[in-house]
Amino acid sequence: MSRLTEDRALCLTYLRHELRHRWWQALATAAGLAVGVALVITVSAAAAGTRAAQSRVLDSLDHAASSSSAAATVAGAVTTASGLAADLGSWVAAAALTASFVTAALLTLASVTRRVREFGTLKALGWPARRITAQVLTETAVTGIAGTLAGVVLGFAGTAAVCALGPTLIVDVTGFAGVPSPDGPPKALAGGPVTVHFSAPISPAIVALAVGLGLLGTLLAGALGAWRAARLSPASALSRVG
Amino acid sequence: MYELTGVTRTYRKGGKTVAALAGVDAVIADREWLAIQGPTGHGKTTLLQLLGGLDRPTSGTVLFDGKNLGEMTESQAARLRATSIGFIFQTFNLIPTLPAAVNVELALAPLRLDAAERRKRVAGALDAVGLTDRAGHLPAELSGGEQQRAGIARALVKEPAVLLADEPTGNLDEDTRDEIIGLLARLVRDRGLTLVMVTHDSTVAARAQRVGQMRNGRLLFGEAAAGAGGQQP
Repeated sequence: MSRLTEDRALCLTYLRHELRHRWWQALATAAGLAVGVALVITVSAAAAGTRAAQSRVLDSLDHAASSSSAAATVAGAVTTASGLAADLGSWVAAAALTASFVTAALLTLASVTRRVREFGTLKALGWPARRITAQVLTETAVTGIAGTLAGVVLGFAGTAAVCALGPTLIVDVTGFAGVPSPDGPPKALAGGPVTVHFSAPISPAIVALAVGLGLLGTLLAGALGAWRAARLSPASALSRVG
Repeated sequence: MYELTGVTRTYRKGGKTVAALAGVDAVIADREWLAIQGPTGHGKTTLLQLLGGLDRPTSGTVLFDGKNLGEMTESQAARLRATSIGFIFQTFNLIPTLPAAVNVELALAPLRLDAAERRKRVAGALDAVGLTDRAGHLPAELSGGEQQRAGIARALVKEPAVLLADEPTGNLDEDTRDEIIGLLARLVRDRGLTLVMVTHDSTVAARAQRVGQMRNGRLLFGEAAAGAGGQQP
């Protein structure tokens, strides 16, 4: 086994023991990221589902009265409601992801702060700053990747739940009187009821975006923690009461 | 081994400048066991940190085998600590999530040894302190004396030239203290190490070849130290 591989083996041994004995801290960080990633997938899929439902409702209205001003009014209302839902979804997803990044970063920093004396000891043993940086980054990466993957699974499960609980829309314009038309009196619209089942499709692009953002958040949180650990003066780190 | 000339170390604290070291001049010979005593807050630990390259003097020079520690970069100082200087702490400073053997092995990480050499050295260091049968135990599963023995094994495993010990028996009862000091004395003698030990305990200091007294940031020896309240063995 090469010396580099040996170094990695020791790094992984350290990591394994850290995760085993501080599993609840790692779990909290991973769970924070998982929730953010899951919300991005679920909310984005729900927004796409809303747009698809809107499209089908509009199609049914077109079939009923393509030239009716009543249909145009209803279509406008559907478009506005759908747009609002999609916008709200985007904001919720962005807020959830930001909250999860901030949570992950704070938990990582809290972990570094709690281990200041440990890092001071490693520096006293002769560990260079870059090695401590690598250790912190590796620990954060493992937690972050696990959290991101769990978030993807959770996101698919959440989307399935939304689909299962989502409303089935019945568009029934039979006998609808419509609104007055400049061409004459209000016209009744023809056509039978149309059933629109709500479904939330998950696109690969959304999954890729959520995973990318999750990993980016992990990297940023890890880099912040590692930077803090590397900057510690060994003398002041050792003087902290452990 | 060490040559200190006019060493000062000042800190800013609450808007004021505090002198932890106020002009230390000393020579520490190879294979010497030097004990440093003195009241809390008079600069003992600061001096130990400068000797270990963990801190830099504000002025003056700290030479280690002719190399000026104050002029070293952090990575050069880290390399020196990794190869030549072993630290022993009052609170042991073992990493609580790692078994004793892995704690010892961490000191070898910067040396990039191959697996066989690493295992051999860890086993040898644990054997030297009588901790072979406790190698797989976490620090919390060890007694205070065993934890300090693991700390000593971690300091020794790199085969350093110098041991710097900061109150190594400060957290131990009398019997364990005597056991640890006996172990250190044997290891220092057998391996030809230089030992600089900060201690409040006069019984421990009496085992050293020379005792210095830290008073108001100055290191005093001989009559000056005796006049300051110190004891000479």
